[in-house]
Amino acid sequence: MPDWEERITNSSRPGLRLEHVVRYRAAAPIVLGSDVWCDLGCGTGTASSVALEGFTGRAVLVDADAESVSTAATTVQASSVTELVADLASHEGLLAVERLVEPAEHACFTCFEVLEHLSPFAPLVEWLVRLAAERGHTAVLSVPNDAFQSIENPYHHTTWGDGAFAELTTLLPEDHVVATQIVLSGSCIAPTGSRVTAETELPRSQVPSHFIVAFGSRAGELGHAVELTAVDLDASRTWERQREADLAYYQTLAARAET
Amino acid sequence: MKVAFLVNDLQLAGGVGVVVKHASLLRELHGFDAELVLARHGEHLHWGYEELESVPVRTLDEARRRRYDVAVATWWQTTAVLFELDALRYAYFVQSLEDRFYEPQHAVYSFDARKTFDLPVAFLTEASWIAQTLRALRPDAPCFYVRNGIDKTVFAPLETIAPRLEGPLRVLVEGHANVWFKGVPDALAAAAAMREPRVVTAVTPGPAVEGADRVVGPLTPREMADAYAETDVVLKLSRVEGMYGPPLEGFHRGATCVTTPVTGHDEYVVHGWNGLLVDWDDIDGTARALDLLARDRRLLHFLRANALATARAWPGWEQSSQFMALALQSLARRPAVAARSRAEALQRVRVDAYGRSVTASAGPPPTERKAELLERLWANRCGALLLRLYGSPVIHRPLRGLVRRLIR
Repeated sequence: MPDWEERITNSSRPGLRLEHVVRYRAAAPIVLGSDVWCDLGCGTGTASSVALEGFTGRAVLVDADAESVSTAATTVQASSVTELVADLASHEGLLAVERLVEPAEHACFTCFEVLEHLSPFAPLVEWLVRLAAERGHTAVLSVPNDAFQSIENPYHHTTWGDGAFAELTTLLPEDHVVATQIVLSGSCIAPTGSRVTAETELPRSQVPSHFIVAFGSRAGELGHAVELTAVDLDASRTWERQREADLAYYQTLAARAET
Repeated sequence: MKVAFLVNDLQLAGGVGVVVKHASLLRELHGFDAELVLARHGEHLHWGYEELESVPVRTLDEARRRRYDVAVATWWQTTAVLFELDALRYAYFVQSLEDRFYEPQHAVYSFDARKTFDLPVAFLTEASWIAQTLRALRPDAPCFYVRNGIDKTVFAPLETIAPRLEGPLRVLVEGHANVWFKGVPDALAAAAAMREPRVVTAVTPGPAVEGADRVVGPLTPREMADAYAETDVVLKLSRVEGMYGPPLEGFHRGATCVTTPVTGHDEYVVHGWNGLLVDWDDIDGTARALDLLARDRRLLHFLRANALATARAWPGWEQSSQFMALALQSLARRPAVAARSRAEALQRVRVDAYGRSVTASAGPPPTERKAELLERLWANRCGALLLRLYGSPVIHRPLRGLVRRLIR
């Protein structure tokens, strides 16, 4: 059964958390060098707080879910944090964000795994491109490669893959920078209690799980990032069993409610 | 934003349908004031599209009196009147490299179609191969890539596909039989050369064809969707395609495809994954590929299942429309075309392939007259040689004057 976990928290699978952390790590050179960082679709801030430790500027955290924004505001490090609940598919929502970010120049926007949730996504893209051109801001976006696996995610309004990403990049300034995110897998043997570091060369070309693009004045600073972590089998088992038990429990409750 | 899409006519055809769909959705979903403008004088209107109820259709004379943010040519002949429209910016929606549509004896059309890629316009296109070609030809011009959506209400993806363990292979051949680059006679010949049992359906609006068990058409999109749902393999041996819609529509309805590696196939066809690629002019090889699918039902099911998965991931029209809206908005942010540039462009489209003036009021260049002249030249061996040389980019320029003089 597919696992549609769209909201990342500390309880999310380690692999999924890392996938999100890595995106913020790649954007870190741009974010950490900005006075203002605006995280569009900030969620609970679980990944950004890990990856952007040491950010000393002003953070503007935006999400459609009020509870998530509040949580993010307590976890993200910044000299000041502004929270905003906004619909990024609407012009009103985008204007509200713009009012909070301005009059900053060369601000950084991160917008990871957001476009596919918006209907329509066009106003957000149009707005970011305009801010990059007129205000010198930099944006870093990501979209999933759903098309490759033909994933029909019930939370996604649009399907993204290499074709849709190619369409998107024709709309961006010519000096945009593209990166791809790939999935890693592995295993390790080590004497108990010993410390292990690993080094391996990754293939230059691999089907990506996500497409990343940066555009704007500092797009060239988009970095690279790799994160590995050991799988905590105990926590993993707990998570899976809890999920199965919860599912059975709520199905029973739902069945009772229907009768 | 006020946008004019120039079309030659509104007859039921794939390319026109795409333009009508975009105009309609730009109005409905993005608040654009999009209109269709008939580039030909006295063209009879064909209201074959439901979407036309919500899209204004203007004659060229009416459109000349209006002002647009963007005017978009959509077929090479419509560029002849593109710059007659008063617009701040001009674009060209290229759905195929249309110079490839013509056989050598109609080379004049190819020449004229090719010239249009040199116009001072931004390009919009639906296929990555066209985008790559245009970027190579015109690195100075913006080029936006906007894939066509699939109408998921009509070509609704099947929930599941049941393996077909037995029964004749159900083959569907689609296209105008008398349009040379659709390869319909070749496809029917390949199906006829099969050794395994098969049922061949030809969907063609043209003249009667031989080699099919059933000939139907023209079909509405909904009828077409039903036909695909009763198909195992869409067989296409086309030589020129744009975004190559028909096999993709078949994918939505549970069919795989056997196809030539025609332009546009690389948008979604992967050999051995969701379809089979066969070589050019290889009737026997194509027949053997079909025989393979007729015999190996495990392979057939693998290809059909993956084809359906490919279809599910293809965008619908709403997504496509968002990219079209973004492309037009991006174009609108660029500097407006200066009056002088427009006048120069207008002058260029009013000069035909032989340097003769074409009056604007006459509408598109008189290609029929030129075609007649060229056909006479083609009938002559020396003339044919000259025409071939004329088509060569290496010696195109030195020969141009000679060919012009000969024709005169």
